[in-house]
Amino acid sequence: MKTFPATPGRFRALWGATLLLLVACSSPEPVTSSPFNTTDTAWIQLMVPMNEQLLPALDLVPPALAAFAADLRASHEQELVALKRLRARAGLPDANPHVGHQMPGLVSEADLAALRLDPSGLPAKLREHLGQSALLARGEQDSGADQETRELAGAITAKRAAQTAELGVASSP
Amino acid sequence: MSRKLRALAATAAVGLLSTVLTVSTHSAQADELVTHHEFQANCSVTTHRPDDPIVFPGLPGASHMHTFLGNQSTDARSTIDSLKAGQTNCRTPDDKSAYWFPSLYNGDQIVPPNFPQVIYYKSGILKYQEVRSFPAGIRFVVGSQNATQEQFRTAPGAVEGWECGNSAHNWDFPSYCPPGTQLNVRYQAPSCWNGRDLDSADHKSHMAYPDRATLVCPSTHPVPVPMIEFKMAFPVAGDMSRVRLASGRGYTWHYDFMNAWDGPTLQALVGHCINGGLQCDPRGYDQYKPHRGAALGPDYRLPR
Repeated sequence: MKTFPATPGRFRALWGATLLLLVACSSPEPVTSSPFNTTDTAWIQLMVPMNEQLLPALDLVPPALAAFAADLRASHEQELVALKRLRARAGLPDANPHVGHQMPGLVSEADLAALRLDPSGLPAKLREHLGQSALLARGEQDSGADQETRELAGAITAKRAAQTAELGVASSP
Repeated sequence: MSRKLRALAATAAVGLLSTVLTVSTHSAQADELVTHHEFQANCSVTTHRPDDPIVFPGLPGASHMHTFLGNQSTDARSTIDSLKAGQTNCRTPDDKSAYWFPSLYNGDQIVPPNFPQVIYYKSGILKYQEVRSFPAGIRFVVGSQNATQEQFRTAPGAVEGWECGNSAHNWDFPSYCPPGTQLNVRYQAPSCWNGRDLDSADHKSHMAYPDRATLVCPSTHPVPVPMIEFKMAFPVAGDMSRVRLASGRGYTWHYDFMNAWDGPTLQALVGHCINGGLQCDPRGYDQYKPHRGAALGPDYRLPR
């Protein structure tokens, strides 16, 4: 049992085809001449809050991790300068698209409140953050397009490996 | 014939004529009474991944956990071309689209829907005859993972919130569901397209909901496309206190759609079922109106 569109259906199909042709000429990328692809912009927009939201957690470290936390803060702040420069170059807004999001490695308001009550979870949270940002950086290296952004990702991948190793030493009893 | 009689006869004739007209009008209406303008995609769970090819393209592991339906190849690197080359478990095999939502957990266990789920394609506008097929490659996010409970309740996509048993209109998870019931949610997508962009920076603003009162697309988004409505069922009941979404509380419910339909197949279903005012299954067949036939062949594909 089949019915096939008579004239109105065919007309609709034609309309649809015209629409598809029109669409095929426009690109889904925000700016066609930009060196940034969608991976670059997603990575930059995620890494800014990843780094920013870690900073208040570093205030909560126990004395044994104080030196490690100071180094981590300095390098995260340095990366933020580079990330925000890339964000401006890509013409992206300053607004954080991940406000309130619950995502791996991103220290949320709820995470921070829990850590204030019980700071013993901090090393695990730091490890999760370092591991997740290394994973994201490798994704940017693999799928990003903008050279400068990929280079920053490469530097972050290397730094996170070293920082994870340092954290292991510093937090071992 | 007296004038009186003639008048009477004339009146009777008019009366008879109008009766006939009424009957024929009635029968035409009964025959064409349009109660639905929809078809279903039926797709099962494929996998769970912390990936989101719309929000985090090329960044595997960047997202909270998602449960994917339909196309079995979907991952962080999916593009329309890769989806079209993939396989699907949707009942309509030429629907290679990717569908996903934040995974639902009970404690630390993911609760995957355990039978083919219903994804409706309906008319969101009054003039269902004017709904167009989706443009190739369009993708969008429906709902908001940052919504407050009040925003979830009053959202244009809201239907009855979370449901189980006789309990509905819950704008977070109910605290208890009778054993043997499933937790259900329905949520409607925007169905007016700006006619230009296949995606946008927030992955939403190229789409809009029709005006609530008039059910007409706004002038900024003048192109009516199918209104997707997810109807998901989760096999979890009893104490619901540990039930959550990967994105947070029940009111953070949202979902994503990447269109990878075969164009002519989608066009045939939209034309026959939505524009034609039918209540179709995934083959484009309305069991209550068998005389209208089906949009697709017995193998759920367009005859080629």
